[in-house]
Amino acid sequence: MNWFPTLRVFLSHGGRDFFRHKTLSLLNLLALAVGVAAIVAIQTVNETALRSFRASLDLVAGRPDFTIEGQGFRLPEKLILLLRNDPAVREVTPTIQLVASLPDHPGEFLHLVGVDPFSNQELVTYRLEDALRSPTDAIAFVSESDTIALTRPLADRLHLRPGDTLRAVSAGHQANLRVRFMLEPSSDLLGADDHLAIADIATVQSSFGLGGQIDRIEALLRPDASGKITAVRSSLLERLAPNLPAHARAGSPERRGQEVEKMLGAFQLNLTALSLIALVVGMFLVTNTVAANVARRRAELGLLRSLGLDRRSVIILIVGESLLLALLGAGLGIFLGLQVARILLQSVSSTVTSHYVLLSMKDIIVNPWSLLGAGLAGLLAAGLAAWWPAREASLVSPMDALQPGNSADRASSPQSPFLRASLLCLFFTLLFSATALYARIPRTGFLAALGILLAAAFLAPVFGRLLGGLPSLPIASGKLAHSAFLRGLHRHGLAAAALSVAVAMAIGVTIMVHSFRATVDQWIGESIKADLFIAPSTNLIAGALEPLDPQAETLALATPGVRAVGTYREIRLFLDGTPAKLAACRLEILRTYNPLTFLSTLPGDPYELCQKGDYAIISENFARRRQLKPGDTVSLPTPTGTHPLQVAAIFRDYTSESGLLLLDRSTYRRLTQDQGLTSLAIHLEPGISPKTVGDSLREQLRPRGEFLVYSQAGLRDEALRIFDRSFAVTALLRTLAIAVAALGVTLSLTALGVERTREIGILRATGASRNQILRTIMIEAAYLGATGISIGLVTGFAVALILMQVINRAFFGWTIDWHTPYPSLLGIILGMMIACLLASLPPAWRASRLSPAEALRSE
Amino acid sequence: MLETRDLHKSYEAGEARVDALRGVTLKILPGEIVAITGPSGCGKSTLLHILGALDTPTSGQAYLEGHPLHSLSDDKLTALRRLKIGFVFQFFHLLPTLTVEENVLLPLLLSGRVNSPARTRARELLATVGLSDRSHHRPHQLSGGQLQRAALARALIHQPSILLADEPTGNLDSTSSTMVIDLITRLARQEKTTVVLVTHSEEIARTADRRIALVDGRIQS
Repeated sequence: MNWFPTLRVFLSHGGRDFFRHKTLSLLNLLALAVGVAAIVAIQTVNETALRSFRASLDLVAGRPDFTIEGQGFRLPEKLILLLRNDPAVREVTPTIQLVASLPDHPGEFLHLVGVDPFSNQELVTYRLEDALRSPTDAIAFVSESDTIALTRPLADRLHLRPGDTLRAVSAGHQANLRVRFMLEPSSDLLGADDHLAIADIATVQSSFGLGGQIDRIEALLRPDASGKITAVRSSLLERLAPNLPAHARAGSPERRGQEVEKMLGAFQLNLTALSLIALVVGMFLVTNTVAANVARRRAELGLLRSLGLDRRSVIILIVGESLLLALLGAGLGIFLGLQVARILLQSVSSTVTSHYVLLSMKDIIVNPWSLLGAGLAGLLAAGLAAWWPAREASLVSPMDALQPGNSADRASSPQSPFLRASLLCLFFTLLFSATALYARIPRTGFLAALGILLAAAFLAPVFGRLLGGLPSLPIASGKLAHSAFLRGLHRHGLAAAALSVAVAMAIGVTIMVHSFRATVDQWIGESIKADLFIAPSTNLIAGALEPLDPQAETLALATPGVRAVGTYREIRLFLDGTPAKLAACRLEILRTYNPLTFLSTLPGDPYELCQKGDYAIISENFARRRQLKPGDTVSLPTPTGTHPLQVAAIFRDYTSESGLLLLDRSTYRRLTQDQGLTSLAIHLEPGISPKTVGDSLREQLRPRGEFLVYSQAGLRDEALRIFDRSFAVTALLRTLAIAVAALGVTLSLTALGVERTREIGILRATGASRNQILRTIMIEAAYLGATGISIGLVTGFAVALILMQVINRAFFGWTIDWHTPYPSLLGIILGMMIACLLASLPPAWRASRLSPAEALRSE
Repeated sequence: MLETRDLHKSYEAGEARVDALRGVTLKILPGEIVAITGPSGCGKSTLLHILGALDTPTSGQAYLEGHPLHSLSDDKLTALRRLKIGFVFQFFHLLPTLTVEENVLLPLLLSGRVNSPARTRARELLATVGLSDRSHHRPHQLSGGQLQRAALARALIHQPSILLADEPTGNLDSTSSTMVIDLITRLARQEKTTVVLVTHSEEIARTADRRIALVDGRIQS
């Protein structure tokens, strides 16, 4: 049938209904908007992180056809010739990069990139603008050995003007660099890090003691006869492979970006999954509102049915109207989401930098496709959510619909389908947990979490009825609220379901974060025994792994009161295409002062094995991810070749999400030829004050650059600060879900308030006071809250179990000891109950203020 | 006992103003059964709502046993409804999750007076209206006539001095209508309750002691 004219009639009624029940309509709009906002915020932040990283990469490396990159260690310069002499190669250009601290500008750093301005002309994606207003050419750039180009934002921030010098320090080398050019990224490199600085490659090499070393080689290739370069690249790779060092990675330039995306994948997936919870909670509320809407407009639907509207059209009309409303909600959600993304930006930027790659995000990058996707997700959620009540409405006969009376009176909610659905969800939870853990499909862990949340949601009406079986409060309002709650379960069931999902998520995440934090804290207590720690400041500010000034070790050893100095070197690399950390330390110091907690070892002393031969100690998550056990072999690509290392032991470690491979310093230096250090752990003589020695070391190190000298407690605090910052976004998403659920309580009570207007009139006519009406609705909200919170509490423990034992194990492989944060859980329970009561206040107040005569006229 | 003086009530309906009552003055004596008749929209229900302390007049005075309904606070009006007034509505209006007996006890529940004697009275009233065997049923298990009899028992449980009935038979068949009106008049006389009855029905109006006809918000006779 042609239902457009009917739709017009229905929509015009719908429009009037929207304005007549403004509060209800706006709450519905807001519930969906917050759900969409959570997705938009997370998608935008994720997008910004990746785009910023790619832009920085493009700015440094240009857009070549082929790259060779040293992973973990630098490459020898001679590789340039090897590539340049190949007939397939048209142009070759090398780069070197490092992160330098700026002692005269504490808290700032320079991401310095050395380029060859003669050979990179075709690759550059930036423009050098001569800040001295003299002719700009490559010769000017290389003629002075201390010239650099800075981004304008950084120059402005550091108050640097053309001709000014900037003191930069890296790995014990100091250089006075002269600002000569401003770096203007091309317009498509939005989001590139403003700490970038460009200099001639020779300037970087000579200033920082890196002669003969480079980080990457970019090349442009000659296309084949068909104009393509894929085949050319493959054959080039084959020709080069025998002559490349083991740690060199050659191939398509996109690979690096893809690797970073892969590295950030689990982190971003976690956030996306959490943001979807807010939308799921929002979906329950949309279902609730549409059901309320349908109940209110029952007679209207009956009339349309009696005038010839078929059942399918009823569904189309209701879902269509919901989608139109959702369109507004999605629009509002997108706007709110972008604001939230701005708030989250700094936190995510710091977290990514601490754990993965150097990233400096200044403003969000909006991808219209992401926004469209989030908007469509909102519409889809609203459409799905509206379908069930629409179908229910379509099944009501026109006769029934046209009969006066309170539709809520007739509502019944059989319990068995809910129980069956709940059990089915539980079954899927177990199934997906198994696939995540045993079939090695980690993403299904999130489906397991969703399964348990849905199981809880389906249980809400059943539990509500059980709760309603308890005796009511022995006051009039208690008895009325009790009966009203039971009768309103068709509406409250959905609000309680939404509440239980939000509470379960809040409790699950709280237990997980608390347990994780307590485990890490305990591990820090056990594994950090040194009295002082020294690291270059850039490693904290920029999350870099720049080498420490080697003089620091000598100075520390010569400082009175120092008993022993442990050294630590850390490299980020890819092993078999998976990110990992390679670390080296003086195991004899570790064994004496700071023994590791081994989970399993080879027969014999693992420390001795590692000191004498090619053995390694690996972290628990490294072992789990690669399914390794003591005695197995790991291949380590280094500048001296690929070395098989036997696993001597597995130990507990929480420093790296991707897993840690630990070598003795002597083995590491022998295999890699890398003499660098990342940090020092200083053990003092008994009775010596760490503060005194720390102050002395700071004083001695000051002329050599910017260093961080931590006490044991200071390092613990710093580690926990990074931990807390990493979970800041989680906390915000948790709050959003709770906010949506609280909105749901208001929504449910407002909807029932509208449906029960006449009933409130009867109560007032029969002698109920305003306060009794207010109390009745608030007690009803307490019933609703108790239902959602009780189920949410129990489910929250199950969610925590899945987060820790399924998702964490499948993605990260850590062991998290269970610690129940009783005060926090009590806070959530009380907070949610208070939120429910507060959320009930507006509808309760409205109902109590209704004029009895008006209310009685409502039918 | 019930008195109004120059009672006016106006509503705003969008931009239009509707004058539902235009200077109604009347006096109803204790124990009297009065029928208010008139065409739809003449102000019958509005007058009943003001007499029942559910609504307040725009101007004029209304007194219930000397209490000025036009100037009392909401709490005081509530107290009057709770103690002195009983209502019977066209659509019965029982709470669906309470049993019939609990519905009857509702006014006492709201004033915290549910005790053993109250329960005995509820059972007696239910017996009087012929619903002894239905006291533990839910409203949806009752017929229209039974629902209205239960509503009548609820209206009388707290021994109000005035019973207000708004089209009490408007939703009933003729047999049930006769039964309900007989019960109202019999119980009112038995309990010495004043009754104000709004009705369209000539037959029901004839059962009253006195009839007040309203036309366009004014008393015609």
